Amino acid sequence: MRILPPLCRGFVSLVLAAAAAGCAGGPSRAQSPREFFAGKTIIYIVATEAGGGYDAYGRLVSQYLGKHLGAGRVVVKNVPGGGHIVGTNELYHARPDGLTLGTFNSGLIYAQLLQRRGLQARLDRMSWVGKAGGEPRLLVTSVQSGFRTLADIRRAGRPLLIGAGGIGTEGYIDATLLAAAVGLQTRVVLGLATRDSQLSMMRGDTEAQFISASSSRPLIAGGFGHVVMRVGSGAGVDEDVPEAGDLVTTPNGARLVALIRAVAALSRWTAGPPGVPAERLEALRAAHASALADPDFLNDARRLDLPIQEMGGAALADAVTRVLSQPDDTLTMLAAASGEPGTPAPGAR
Amino acid sequence: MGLILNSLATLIFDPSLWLLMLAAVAMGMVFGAVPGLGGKLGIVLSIPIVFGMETLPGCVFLVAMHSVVHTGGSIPSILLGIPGTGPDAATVCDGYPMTQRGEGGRALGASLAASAVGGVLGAVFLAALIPIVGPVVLAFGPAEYFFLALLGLTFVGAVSGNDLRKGILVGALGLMLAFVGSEPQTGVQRFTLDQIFLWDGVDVITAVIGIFAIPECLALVAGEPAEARRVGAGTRYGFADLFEGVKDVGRHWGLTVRTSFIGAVIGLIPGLGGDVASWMCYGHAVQHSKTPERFGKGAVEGVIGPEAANNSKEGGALLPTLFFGIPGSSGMAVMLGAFVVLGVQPGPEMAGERLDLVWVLIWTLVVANVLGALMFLAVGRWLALVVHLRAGLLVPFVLLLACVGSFLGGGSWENLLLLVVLGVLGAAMKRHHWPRAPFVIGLVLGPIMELSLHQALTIWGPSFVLRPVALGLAIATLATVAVSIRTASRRKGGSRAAA
Amino acid sequence: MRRPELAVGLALLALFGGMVVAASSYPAAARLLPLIVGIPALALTAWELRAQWRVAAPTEPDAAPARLERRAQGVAFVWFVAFVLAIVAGGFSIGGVAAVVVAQRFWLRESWRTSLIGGAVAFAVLFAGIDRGLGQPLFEGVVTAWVRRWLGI
Repeated sequence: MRILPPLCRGFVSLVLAAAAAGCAGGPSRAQSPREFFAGKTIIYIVATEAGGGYDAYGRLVSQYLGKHLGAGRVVVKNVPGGGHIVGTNELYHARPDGLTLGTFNSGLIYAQLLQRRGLQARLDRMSWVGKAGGEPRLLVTSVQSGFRTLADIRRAGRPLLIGAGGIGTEGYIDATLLAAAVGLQTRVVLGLATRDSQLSMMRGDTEAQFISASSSRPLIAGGFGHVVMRVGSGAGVDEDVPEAGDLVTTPNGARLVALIRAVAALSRWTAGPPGVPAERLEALRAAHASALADPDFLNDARRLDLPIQEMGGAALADAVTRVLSQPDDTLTMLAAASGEPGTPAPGAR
Repeated sequence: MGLILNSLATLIFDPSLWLLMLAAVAMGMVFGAVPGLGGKLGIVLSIPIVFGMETLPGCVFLVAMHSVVHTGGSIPSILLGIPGTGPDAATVCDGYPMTQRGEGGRALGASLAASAVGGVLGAVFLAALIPIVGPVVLAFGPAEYFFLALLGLTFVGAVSGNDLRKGILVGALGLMLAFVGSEPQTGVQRFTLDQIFLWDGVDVITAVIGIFAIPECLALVAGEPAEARRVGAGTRYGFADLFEGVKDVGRHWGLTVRTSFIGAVIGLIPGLGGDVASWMCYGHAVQHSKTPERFGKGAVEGVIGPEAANNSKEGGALLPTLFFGIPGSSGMAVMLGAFVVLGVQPGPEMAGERLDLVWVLIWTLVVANVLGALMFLAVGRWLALVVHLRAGLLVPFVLLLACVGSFLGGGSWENLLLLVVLGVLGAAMKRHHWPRAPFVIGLVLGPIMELSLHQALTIWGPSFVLRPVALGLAIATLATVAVSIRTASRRKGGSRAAA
Repeated sequence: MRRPELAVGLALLALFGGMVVAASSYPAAARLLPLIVGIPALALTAWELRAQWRVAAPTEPDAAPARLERRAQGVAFVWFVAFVLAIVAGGFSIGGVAAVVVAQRFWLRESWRTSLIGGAVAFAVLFAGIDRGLGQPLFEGVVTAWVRRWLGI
């Protein structure tokens, strides 16, 4: 008597065979990382929708990373939502075989320090491959406002009208941390993305914004903005512009500026989920480094107007661990600056 | 004048540019026609293509492709009731009923002609405004945005048909759902039920597909008798029918020109976006019609208005993008990145040293829109055959396409569950004769209205209402409300007298 | 439901009511507009429901065909929900294709041949066209992802 019809038997056999193959787990013999990656498909998660800076960096870096790794194919998967949180969570929970990598906003450092709801990823546990970006932040005032120095702003005797994204965004936190660090009174106009904020400054509705050096270029080049202060150094930024670290007068202020500087420097990174095997991670790191040194990559980056500031995976992992180890009083100041529900309103300290 | 004609000559006497434009137009129409893809993705995927090109051909390719996305987007909107892109959603309101009534060919013809005329007028608008682009772009700030959004909301009255109260309620529902998500002023997650996918709000494409397309699709299957279960039973798609639609654009030339202008102005104002342009022009078309009760049931003006605006806004959006480096929309933001790749530095110097390139792009808008219309004319007949398929063949694919659109548009699979919920709501609204267009107007304008209100209050306090342009828009809003109330009471009085 | 025409009004009442209650607990800036819109909307919905209730229930001209149509609509809706759930479970390339085949065969009563061809076309469009062709990875499905992880592939 047949217990199962032939079709069902065939199906069950297939499932069992697949399960057996799966249970066999990794390769049947020790495989070098190079052999492992050869011909495979890499999924590169970008935690934003298509278009925009993260997507541009992600597509360029992943393309060359795949090439230097000898991978068969690189597929960029856009996973937007929740201010990069959805994509980061998906990356964090992906299989740690080295075939799923991704990029997301370094501002999630703030999110982890603030223990923001929804963020499941623990950045210090991720398998850091390397970073490609990182540039100074600039406090830019509109020419219309008449402010050319910090002293000018203080002399006005009223809060500086500064445009920023919504509460909890990296731009907002950076701006309020800076204000707290140098003792500046500000009134923040919320919900203004970088470009909207620049238009607002040109109209004279707002007076300043605190943004990355490359984003400030249209404003400065067009003669609409003036750089008052910088956090960090980098190519294309005038070293004569006062650095915020030189303008702070308290140890707390210095710590806040250091935090902004650290987050700003760790930009456009590539990571894998926790637990990627050490050998494969080394191979990924080596491929990332050689990709970013590739003259073709650098040419393409120049054409796309993407500034490159490379850091290897090991150094990046250390840097992330360090920046996530903040003393309690810095965390308190950060919580106040974030303006998130349940935290006290930000103020100069 | 020499510069203008030279630019045209550069474009039309170069066979390689013609080939590029043909390829770009075809690509743009396809990206517009597949729900959820859209022009922005088209540009992202074009960047590797244009990477190796010279500046001029690369820019021509990008602008040509992007300018016809909504021409393509009207195809599934009219034939299947599924918007190809967000801004094409307004076309569904009357385009799909025209197909159901057997006038799909006419709807397609009106759409392609309105798109072409709108695109050309958008280019003319761009050219005309070059000398005064600065003051015009800078005239609109949060105060003006708020009253513009409020003005748009008054169109809820116009599109509510005979039942103003139901229309207002549905519009209010759209507004309330617009408040779902992360609130910028406080960081609070409003009405998200702890779901991260709602932190960025309710996706407009999912909402439109759920409220409009799903009920129509299910009604197609549930209708009796079985032989009648074709979308466009009896629809004619010969050239004559397409040309009838083209002639409609001529018959309603005033509406076409006005909505092209409105679309271009809205495109010019950064941050408003294509959805606002198409819905405001749909509302405008309804309000200025002597027989507004025809709308929602297959009025050709309901196709002409939004389709002209969809394409004219491209010309308007190029202004702040090229001359300020400030993108007029998220699609333009990506376009800006692509221009930089090609060695173009958008900014005030475009009006000086690179005016020749600007004029080539203006002519590209004109030529691409005409090419798009011709291509549409050529393939429209064959595409339209799809609606002659019986429901059994068509409906599963329509549902699949709806799900693809919702997933790609919303960016997460949970949008499919939202699609089900909104599909239920849309089906109930259809069954019990509630108007559905006000919902999308509320959903699209809600975020702009709220954000700009808070920004205006932060910058100026309550005195923001006294800013000149804002005050003008406020008066226009009040006037529109008064007209709506008067029209509604006249209609009610008329129907009571007839009873 | 004896007065089905009240369904939308009741749904709106529940939605507006729930959102107004939720909004009351938000900080001032976050609750301003939801309350300005929600409270009047709640009142207007109540007014609309009252007006609908007072109007006599609409009489069906011919009960049997109307009942059949309602049943057909109900069935169509159940199939729609199942279609979407199939995609949620199995993703587009597996669940979506299976949904097309099953819907054509068992709901819309097409032949096996037509249904399988439909499935093949759907697969070609989704996988070859969108996923691989345009490089837009489509959703792989909640259950499919879990099974794949369990099988270690």
